[in-house]
Amino acid sequence: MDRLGMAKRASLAFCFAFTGVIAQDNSAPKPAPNPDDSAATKPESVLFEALPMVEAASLHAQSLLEAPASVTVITEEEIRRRGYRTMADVLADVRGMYVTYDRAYHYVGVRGFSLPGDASNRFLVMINGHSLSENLYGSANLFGQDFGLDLDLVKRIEIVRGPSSALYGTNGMFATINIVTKSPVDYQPFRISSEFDTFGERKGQASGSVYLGGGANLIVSGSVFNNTGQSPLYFPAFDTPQTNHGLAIHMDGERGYHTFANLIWGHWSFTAYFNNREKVVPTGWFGTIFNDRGDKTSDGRNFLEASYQRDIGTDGQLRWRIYYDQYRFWAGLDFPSEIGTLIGRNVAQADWIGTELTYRFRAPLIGFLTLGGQADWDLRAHLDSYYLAPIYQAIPAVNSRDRTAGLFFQDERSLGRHWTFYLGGRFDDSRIHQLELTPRAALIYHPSETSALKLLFGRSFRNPSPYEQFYQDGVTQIANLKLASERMQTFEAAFEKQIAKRFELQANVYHYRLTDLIQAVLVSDGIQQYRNTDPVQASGVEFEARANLLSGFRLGASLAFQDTSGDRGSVVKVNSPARIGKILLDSPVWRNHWSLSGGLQYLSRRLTLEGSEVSPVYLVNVTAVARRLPGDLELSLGIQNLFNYRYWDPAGTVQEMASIQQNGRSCFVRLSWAPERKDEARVPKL
Amino acid sequence: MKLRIYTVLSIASCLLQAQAPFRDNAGHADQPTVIIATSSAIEAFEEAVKGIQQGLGSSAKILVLDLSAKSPENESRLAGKEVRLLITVGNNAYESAARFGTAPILATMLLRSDLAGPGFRAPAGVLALDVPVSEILARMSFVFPGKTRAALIRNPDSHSTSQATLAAQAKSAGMTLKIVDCPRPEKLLQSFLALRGQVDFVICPPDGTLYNGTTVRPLILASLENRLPVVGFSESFVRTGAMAAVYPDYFDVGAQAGELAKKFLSSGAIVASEGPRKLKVAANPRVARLLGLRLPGRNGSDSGVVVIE
Repeated sequence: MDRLGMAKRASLAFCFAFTGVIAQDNSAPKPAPNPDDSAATKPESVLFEALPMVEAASLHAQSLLEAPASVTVITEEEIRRRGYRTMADVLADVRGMYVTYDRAYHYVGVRGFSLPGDASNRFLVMINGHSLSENLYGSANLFGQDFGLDLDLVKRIEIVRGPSSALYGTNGMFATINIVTKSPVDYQPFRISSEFDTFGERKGQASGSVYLGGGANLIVSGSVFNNTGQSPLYFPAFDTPQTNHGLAIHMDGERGYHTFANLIWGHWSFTAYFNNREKVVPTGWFGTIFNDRGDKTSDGRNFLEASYQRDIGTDGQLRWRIYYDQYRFWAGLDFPSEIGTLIGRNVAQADWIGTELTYRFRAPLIGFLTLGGQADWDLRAHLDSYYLAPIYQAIPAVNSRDRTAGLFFQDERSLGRHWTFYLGGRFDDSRIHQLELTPRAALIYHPSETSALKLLFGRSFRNPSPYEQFYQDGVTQIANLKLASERMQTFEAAFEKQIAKRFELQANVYHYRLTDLIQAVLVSDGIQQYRNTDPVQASGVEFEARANLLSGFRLGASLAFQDTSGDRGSVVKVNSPARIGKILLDSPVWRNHWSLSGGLQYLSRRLTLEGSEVSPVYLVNVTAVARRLPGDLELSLGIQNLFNYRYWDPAGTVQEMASIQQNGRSCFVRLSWAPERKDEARVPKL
Repeated sequence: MKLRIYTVLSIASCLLQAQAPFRDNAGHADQPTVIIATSSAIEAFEEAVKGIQQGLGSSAKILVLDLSAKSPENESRLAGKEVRLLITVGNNAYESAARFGTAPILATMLLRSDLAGPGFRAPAGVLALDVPVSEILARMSFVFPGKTRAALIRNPDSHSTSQATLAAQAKSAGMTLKIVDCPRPEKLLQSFLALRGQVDFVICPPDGTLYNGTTVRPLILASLENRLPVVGFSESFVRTGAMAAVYPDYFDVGAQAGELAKKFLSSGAIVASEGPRKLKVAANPRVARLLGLRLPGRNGSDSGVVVIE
């Protein structure tokens, strides 16, 4: 053996020997008592204890975050950063959701379901837990400027997927959207905003909060808008010399107002919500005269509410609310006829009152139990249609008032360290509709503090609206007194994982079966009737990832796949994209004085009612926001549809066309002035 | 050539092992060794450790020992003969040092009530976080201008200052102080509600028995319902719903401890007991608005209140 080989082996052995000593040193703990063992059990001084939050200032708000389901929350910061101006802007960026616009209303699709022209009455929209579904059409499809709450007032938007009839009764089928408003305590003393865009938007808003004395705080907001809209708009279906070659001139305008007030005083919260929007409809819907400014629609959804909330003992919470709701609808419809223009009117007037009481408490052996009841009384549910000219002709009005009542419960029980079980159900009864029982169960497994697996089953239902069931004019629609409620069963599994506090992953798989689907069916020439049709089944899977990277850079991406049963000709296949993708980027720029946001929305091809397809949608939006301009100013600049992508949405049965072209590129600017509060203390050093 | 490479490797390996026990140390070999022992990753502790390091400067070889890491070497390090001083951050670190260490202990970042323990070696010096009532009241005169009626709900088992002394401290601050002894947390709400209409604000000194995650919620709700502000002892308390809090500046507590340690290393003498010299005030304007109160406006001072929203 040569000298080099021996030295090499000796040196290597020496190195490994010491390495082995290190390994031995660091491997097994010594048997002697560890000074840390006792430290692990005793907490540090109470000075450093993280005490639980007390949501005392949210007396006006009811949160859905306790719901055992897949939840998306959009915060006020995200609303500001991304330059959202309407609820449609917000929901278009949400995983698995998509927005359709027919130049009159925005419709939101959930889990691939969005029947063209549907009244969006298969999911609930709430403000602070107060449902916005009205009692005539059952609709909640007010997502543009017809949504009466300005987004400056929104603290967060909670979107809970899946059935919610077990808590909220009818219409809670695909999702529940709850808009939580800012507390008067949190709002600026004064704020003025103005918005403009290249499609003629002109909007001004003034809002503020004030302390009234005696512990009462009030927030008041009002805005007016008068948007000229796009002009001209081209509709190929009307491209004839008689109809101005398909060009609708000055036919996209809308105007209206929003008002909101919330007073919190002790355990009480009082809310007033009044608004109205009038929109000119350019599509010649219902067979009206094309390019006629007499075709317009007006919606006003209003309510007054008083709610009381108080804690009972250490674990109990009592909530009671009483409310008066109102819906006003007016449509001007000018029809061509041989005897001249038929000036038609549709008028809907709905008023109802209601009350709701819930009590949540900890029950021995049962866990947290929520018991509640709700009752609504229709004061008026009036649908009226008539012709003004050339001769006055009225169609028998409908005024089908209902009384509804519901009892519900939800039990939340911990089954050990890692498991939580939810069981709930609701009984609903009404004068017009039959008794409904909607159970819901959920099992949640937490393998760790940062992950959760949820299994959910729920049954939901939707009562037919008075419009679907009782309205008939003999010209466009006949009533169906035997119309039954829709029912749906949903199975869902969701997985959520948080990684290293910076990454979040969610995956969701669902299957639902909807029976007795209510659809408008043509029964004779031009006359429709709402009927219960064949069952619908659909399955889908959704993925979402969010990352909060260094330096404030945020990235979010989602992908949803869904498949609805039925042949190509089935109406549920219409406007149902098989794939929906979203990408969102946010980043602070220029020393955090500005923020830059960008988003991509993707929808796969969608069928139209005529059997054709609209091409996939690729929409890119960008927004830049400056929050620290001198003089307490905030500036938002944005470009929607950055690349001027031409895309269409499938049209509904009331439009005489397969699809409707959507907006091209537009730029908007929003300027706000909100002086800071002067009550931040500056205590001198002692 | 190859022989040299392997020889160098062997020597490097030896040197690596020789350095291992002092991996965390800075400073020269002849400097005294000071161990800063902490047993939690609380942000306040990290601030204090930075402060201690700043206070000590380069006067010692510093070893920061994180007892929460549960290393088997902790005991031997605490008991190391080369250790001249043990500075403990938090009550758990103090307990560990008292059990296993042999060097003098300077206990910091704990309350005086945390020092009581069966059979523990007494520390040579204490830098406790107890804030004198007089200091709290002096600051509250700015948070509640014009309000002079204060109350204090305390646990008599852990607060031994006499009522007369406390009343005198309040008088010197231009206030009256009503003291309510509440030995059990079940009586806390009752004690608080009994003060309605009698005082302008209620001071809650740190006490884990009376004020914790379970008792604080009904207390805050009662505060809001009865519009009687609570003055707590931490930012967390203010975030929960207390209108204000007075608490030590933890970085400065660390710096103060470091300076005490430096004096000890140079002279062998250590101050038996000191309190924090720099305090912070946190306030919650949101809670103030709920209570119908206004915090004082900006007065141009450069030292301000930590505003918690």
